Amino acid sequence: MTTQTALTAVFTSLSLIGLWVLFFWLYRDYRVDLFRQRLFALRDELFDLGRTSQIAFHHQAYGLLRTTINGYIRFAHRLSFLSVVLLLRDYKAVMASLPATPFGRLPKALETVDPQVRAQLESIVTRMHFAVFDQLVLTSATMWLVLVPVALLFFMKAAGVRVLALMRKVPIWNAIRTYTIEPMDALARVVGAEA
Amino acid sequence: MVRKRSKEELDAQVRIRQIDARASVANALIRFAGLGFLGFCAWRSVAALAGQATLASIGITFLGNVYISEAAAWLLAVVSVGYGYRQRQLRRREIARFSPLIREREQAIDPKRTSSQLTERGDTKPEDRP
Repeated sequence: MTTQTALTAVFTSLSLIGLWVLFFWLYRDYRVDLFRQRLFALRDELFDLGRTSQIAFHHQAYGLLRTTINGYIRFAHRLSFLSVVLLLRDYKAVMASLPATPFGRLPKALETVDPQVRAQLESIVTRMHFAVFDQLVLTSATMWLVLVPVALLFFMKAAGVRVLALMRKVPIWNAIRTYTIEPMDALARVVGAEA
Repeated sequence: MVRKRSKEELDAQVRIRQIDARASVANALIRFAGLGFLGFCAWRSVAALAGQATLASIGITFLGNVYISEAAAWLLAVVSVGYGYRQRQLRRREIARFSPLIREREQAIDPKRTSSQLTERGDTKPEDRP
């Protein structure tokens, strides 16, 4: 190996180390801050519904949604594609212990709210789930390398929330919600409810 | 007053903590294994130079092949990271300045307001870190 080739190899390795640190530490920290910022905005929106007396602060739907958002904010640094995979692997065991707790009742609680306010609460829930999806996809190296072509990124930015709203009308949505979203929400509420 | 949790809630929390711990260990392994591999590549590259060249000849080869554009790119990368870091510090200071005000005002309206349990600066609490 010539000196020139070896030097090129050294600098290439150093650049790759820099990129690795950038993705797995700096970029990931940035994404956690961004995710938290988005959820704080949603929590403020929820608080405004209570402040303007559209929903009581002591209403179960308000409390459960706020606890879920708090859980995601607190748990943001631990939210990863891998943790979801592991959660889904233990899905039955986790869900078996949840129905008896107050953490699994948000959809039912939403049904007890005035329809106009319910629409606003569901909008907050939809955007919360989109933020979680966005976070899971864009912080995973596997997703970046394999599943995220640039076109999908543009598509998500342009039409993400609307597509998710459309998805909710498709019959398979119930299965998606049961096996992916509800365990995630339940997990967030467990963490969020910790004193 | 801290609410007393049921056995089911505690079981769920323990199970979720276990999943979380496994994910944290696996994520740390991926991070550091990759970093270790790249470090090994860098070390092998340096080792390839051993005995072939002196520091002086490496320096001459390096300087002889440095292009202004490459140097500028390296400088830009370092300055950009520094800039991002400073902006982040500034943002955290602003959060620390405003968060108590927001909390007080919200608590005046909703005395039972619950918290996300982050620090005053918007960071993860030390005890919540993996």
